Amino acid sequence: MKLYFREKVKPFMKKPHFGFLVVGLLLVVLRLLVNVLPPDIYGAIVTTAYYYLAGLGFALLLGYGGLASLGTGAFVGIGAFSLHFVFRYLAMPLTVAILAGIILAILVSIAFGFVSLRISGMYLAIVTMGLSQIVIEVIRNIPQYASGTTGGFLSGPMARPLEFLGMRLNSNSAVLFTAVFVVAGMMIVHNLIHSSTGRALLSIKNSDTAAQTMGINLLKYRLFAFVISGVYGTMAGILSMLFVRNGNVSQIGITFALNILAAVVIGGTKSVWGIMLGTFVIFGLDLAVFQRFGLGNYSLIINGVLIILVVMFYPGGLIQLFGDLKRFINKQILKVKEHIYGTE
Amino acid sequence: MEQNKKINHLMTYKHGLNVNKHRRTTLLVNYYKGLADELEKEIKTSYEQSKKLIEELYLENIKIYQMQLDGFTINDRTREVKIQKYDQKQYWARRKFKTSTRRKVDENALDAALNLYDESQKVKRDDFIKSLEDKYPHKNLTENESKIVHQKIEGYDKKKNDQLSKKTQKYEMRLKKLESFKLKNQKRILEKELLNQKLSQEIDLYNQQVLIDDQALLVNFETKLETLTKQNGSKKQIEKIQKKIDRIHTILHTIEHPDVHLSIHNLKMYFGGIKAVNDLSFDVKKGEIFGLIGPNGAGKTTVFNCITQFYKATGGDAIFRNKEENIVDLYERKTHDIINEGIARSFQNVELIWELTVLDNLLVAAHSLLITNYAEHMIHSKRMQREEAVLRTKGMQILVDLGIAEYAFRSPYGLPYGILKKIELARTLMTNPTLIILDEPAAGLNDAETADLAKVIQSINQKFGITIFLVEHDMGLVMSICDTVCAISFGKKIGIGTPKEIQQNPEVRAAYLGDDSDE
Repeated sequence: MKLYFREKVKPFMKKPHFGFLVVGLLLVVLRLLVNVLPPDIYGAIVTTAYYYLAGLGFALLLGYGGLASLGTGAFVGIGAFSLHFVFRYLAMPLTVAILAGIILAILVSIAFGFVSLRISGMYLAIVTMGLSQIVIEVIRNIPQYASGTTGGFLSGPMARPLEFLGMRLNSNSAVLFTAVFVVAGMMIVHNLIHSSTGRALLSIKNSDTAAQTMGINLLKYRLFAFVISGVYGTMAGILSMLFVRNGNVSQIGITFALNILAAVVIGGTKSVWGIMLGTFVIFGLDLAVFQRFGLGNYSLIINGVLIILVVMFYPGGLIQLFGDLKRFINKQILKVKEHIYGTE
Repeated sequence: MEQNKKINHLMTYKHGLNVNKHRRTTLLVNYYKGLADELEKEIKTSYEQSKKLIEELYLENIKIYQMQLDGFTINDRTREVKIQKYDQKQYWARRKFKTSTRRKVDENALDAALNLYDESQKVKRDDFIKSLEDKYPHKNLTENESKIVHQKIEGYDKKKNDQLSKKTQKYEMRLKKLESFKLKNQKRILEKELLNQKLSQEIDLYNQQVLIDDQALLVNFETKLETLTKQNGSKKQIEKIQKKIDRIHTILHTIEHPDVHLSIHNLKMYFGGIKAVNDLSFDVKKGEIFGLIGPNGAGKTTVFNCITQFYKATGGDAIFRNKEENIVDLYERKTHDIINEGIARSFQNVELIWELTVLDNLLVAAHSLLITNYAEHMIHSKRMQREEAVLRTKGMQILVDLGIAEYAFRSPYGLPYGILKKIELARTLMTNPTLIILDEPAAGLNDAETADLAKVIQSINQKFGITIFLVEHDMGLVMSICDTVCAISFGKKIGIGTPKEIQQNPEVRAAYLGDDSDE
């Protein structure tokens, strides 16, 4: 037993993948504590968890590919509304609905990649914004969504319960779903970043001429980054639908894309953990903290000030803050010790 | 005619696929060849490691009992621990006392006070030890107790032996599996090699066919041209045919002279009305250092960009003898395929990735050597890890060869310019190119650094047998290392030859020093 621990478990615990597993476990524990925790904190954490996925995908685009896309909202919309449409109006099983959403997202993201092949920077942002507007307009023009909202799965004439592999999913069980996808998503992004693909994306961001001379096919990698970020965004949409049980077209517009951009920039574009922090600051802080202390009215202002402060003092993202905090605390402890005991 | 064209298209497409497959299979064969050895090594090291781990654990477990047998019983141990704790506490107390008294009194008084304090503490400590000895007296093991201890040690012995035998069994099993794997692997290698032979035969056949076709076409075109000129045909048509004839001539020229590595013929690059390069032709021979010089704005970098297909040239031909000794028209290749043919280039302003370490920068350059794909990168498969280890070793070897191994694990950010240039050189070496194109390697370097770089370039040229083609402003560097120098001015060739010939060429002198008609 001890031998097994030392041989297998201990080396694994030193890997970053262990941290990702812990995140998943924490989410599972959260599901079990649903009756104990105050509902606003619970909601804030779950919201952070699924939008975190969208943030991760977007970070691969922005931090590694250097492609500032504002189309994340469209993918979240594709996830949420295609799941709803296929499940409710086409009366397909849940698995098929999820797969349909992902396939649709891949197709749309390939279109995004092709359209934005020869442009970058500001122009890319504008073009992707336009594309996402088209997607949202298409969703709005589906007659069932003319009012702008999905009514949820369980209301209306054709209500039937969500079932996955014979298991009945209620809103809280969707958290388990989220846990699985968050862990898988973190691992995949971490692995990609620390592999030739991540380095190739970085080199494209740095200089596409140099990347091409080294044999990196721009088209292939741009498309790949778009597809991954699209699929991640779609997963976020699907998970949000499973948890919240209804969606609104107005939620997935440009504001959402900007929120994700802010989350990734605040957290740190190159750090898996930083993005988690950033997502929490943008999507969870308001619910979990400000409204508790009666600051709900000022939450937008406080968030804005926070963003300004972070961008000014921590250009590498909030994740730097932790290193600095640790160093600061250590320094203070040393100072106190010196005051009491003196130097050697 | 249409059908013929279609068939030709298909043939070319298939040829492209064949070439890619051939390269990939070569990489795969190399991978498989290394695989068996590496697996064996892995199995052995993991066995050694687990053996060591078991031994460590065993020693840790029996330590207490062994000590008891040696006469160091549990009571002794408790005493030891308590004294240690006491001493530690006293150390901090003394330090505290020292600091607080230092704040109150001066230096001499402090010494006296400390002496007093030490003496009192010594007495206290002796008392403490005595009380401990009363409380936990030394007792020898009774026979019964020692028996139990022996039994416990024996138990651990047995456990250890069990674990060891289990590991050995597993190890032997794995070795046996390895044997069968090796057989399979051998088979796989043979298969791939056969495939490779077939592919290279097909490629050769295609090349021969193309050669024959070209020769036939040449005759065809020449007669056409003659009739056209007789009939006063349109200028455009004549130009078109002339272009085709020139291309075939250049290819034939390259085939005829096996020492020609890169043949540039009548290269034209127009940007709107500006003729950046006009009718430039030269041959780069195999294994030489070829320098391209010219005043500012002469179009040197444009030539490079035309060769590496950043610019699509307006006219002319660039024929290259690639890694596999086949003749390639570079115009038919895409920018990111050029490196596969064996051409690597560096940039005028250093294009490194600052977020990565130097070694990782080299790994980026090895991109065309990858055999793994996205899916494997996503899950970090064993194959990918192995590949990365191999590439890392290779990169490290190159860094050692160039004498910059000490910077391998740091970011290139903030390194001196001379080192950065060397890292760029190392990066071009990663893909085993046959031709390296250097764009102003000595720009921004001081004299010592330039001399150092010249040495490195020469050593690369001689050690790896790589042809080097460079553009440079530093005449000292060009004249000292180049075998052939080509001078251009305003996109036109004004002289080619050995450095000495170029130095004495009046036209070159005029271009550099201005037209001095007085002398």
